[in-house]
Amino acid sequence: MKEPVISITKLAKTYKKYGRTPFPKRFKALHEITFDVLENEIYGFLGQNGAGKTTTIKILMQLIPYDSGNISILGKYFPDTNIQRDIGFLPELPYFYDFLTLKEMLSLYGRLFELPKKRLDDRIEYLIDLVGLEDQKNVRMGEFSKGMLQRSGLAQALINDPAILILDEPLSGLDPVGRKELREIILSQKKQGKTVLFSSHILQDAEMICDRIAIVKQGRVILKGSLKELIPPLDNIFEIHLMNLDSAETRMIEDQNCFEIMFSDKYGNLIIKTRETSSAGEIINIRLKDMQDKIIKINRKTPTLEDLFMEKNRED
Amino acid sequence: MNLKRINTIARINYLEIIRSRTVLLLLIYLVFLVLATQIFSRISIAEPSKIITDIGLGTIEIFGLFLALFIGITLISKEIEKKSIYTLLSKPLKRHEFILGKFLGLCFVSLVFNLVMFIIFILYLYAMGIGVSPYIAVANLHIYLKIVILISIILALSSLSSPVLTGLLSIGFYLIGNSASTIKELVLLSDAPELNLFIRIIYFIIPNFEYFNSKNNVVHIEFIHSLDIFTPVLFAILYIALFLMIACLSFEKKDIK
Repeated sequence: MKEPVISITKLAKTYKKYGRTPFPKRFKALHEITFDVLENEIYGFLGQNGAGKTTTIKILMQLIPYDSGNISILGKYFPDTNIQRDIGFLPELPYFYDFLTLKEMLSLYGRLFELPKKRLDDRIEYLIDLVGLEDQKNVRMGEFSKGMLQRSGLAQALINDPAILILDEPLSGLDPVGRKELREIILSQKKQGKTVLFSSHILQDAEMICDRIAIVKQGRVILKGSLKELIPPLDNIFEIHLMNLDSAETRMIEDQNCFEIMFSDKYGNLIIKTRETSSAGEIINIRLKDMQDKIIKINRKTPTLEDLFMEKNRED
Repeated sequence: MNLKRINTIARINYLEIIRSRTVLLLLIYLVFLVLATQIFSRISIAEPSKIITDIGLGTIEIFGLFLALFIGITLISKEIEKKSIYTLLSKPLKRHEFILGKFLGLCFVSLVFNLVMFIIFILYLYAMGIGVSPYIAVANLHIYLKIVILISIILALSSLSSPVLTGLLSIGFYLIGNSASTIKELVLLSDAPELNLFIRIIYFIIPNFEYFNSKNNVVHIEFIHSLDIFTPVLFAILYIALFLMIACLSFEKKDIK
């Protein structure tokens, strides 16, 4: 059993928002969230915008205080001021001083870790090569595209060769090629033995690289576990198109909780979705026995993290 | 406290300003110096050498003040707004090191600008055939100390409030600090006890910048007593330490959203 390198227990955070009155409005951003990140895994912290992902990450980076709960990173309990030495952090939509070149920026962050000059120079060359920005290393960062900035951000997060990488929305705003490149870099860091915690609302990417995930909604963890546990490989998603149903038939479908209605119109045309371990034949013969002649199309696909996410969102 | 990390933060400020258009301020200074001294020495009945020395040192102070204000008021808020502070504070950088680095960076930039403007001024005096008293350098040092105190005030205020409020309050501190003797007279003149108390509080809170006005001695009597040279330095150290302490303590508790 792997040891947790990040352990968060019952973490709660309330923001105070000052309006026109002297009394602040309180907004509970995190409701006692609990999850562990194990050694050398890629952990996806997923959820919609405003779910509490960035708040959790800011607390982990000791940028904002929290109300209650326990946090430990690599066995050190918060508030430990030396924790940053073992962490590499990429904030959401990072900004780097646009008057600095990439090389200068990396050197600046490296100096904050007090890395010896020779080691720092070697590390900078290695990281520039890793993120594929050799030709831009002496270009001022004000001229960088969003993708280049994101890659530069990853390079600065790796400057201290950290044991843990915490990445806040590292793939957002990137084109498919940029996302693929960044995914590959994250995977390469796992191969080097690092642990990665990253937040995202792009579920396809998370599905491709994560070992385990936690889905957070309105400050609560609503689902967590390994992708294998959460999406059993035998599960299938069926999308069934039906036409000319009468009102009784429509009601019958609506009454069956296993069906999610994706489309319906006044002519009795319906598109429904269901997640089953059974075959299409079984669904038609058992659940839709009396409407077999009204089925015009059945699509079968393997469920994705997005399907799971949507299901959980609907349930909660 | 780690000096290497403080120096790294200071270096960012220095590079930012040196690589920006702010250096044009020096050219504007030169033009302003020549125009102002030429115009005023012609319309004034005072000795032209006194007018030129007065305006020259006064302009160094005003330009130094502008530089400190315009860069200083956004020194912290810009880092928070652009979120570059997240990457900095996620490294082993303590919050007070960040503040001290920002302070030293702006002090260094102000020093470079002050020295360049001072050299331009001295060369101008030579070009105009005006003798240069060594006390001019002391007057310039006192101007620089005033600017450094102002930078520490700006940092303390910007750790507590918005850039606009910081700007307004800093200008207020500067103007009131330069009129400390008038405020003291107001205390004697006022009969109302509440107003009297209020003016006394203002008098004690706001640094007395009049200690640093050795420029008048240089212009009019061309002499500064040794006590008047070193006392302002001591005052400056105390003021700067006090305001930096306020800046560091309030930034330590700041919720960076």
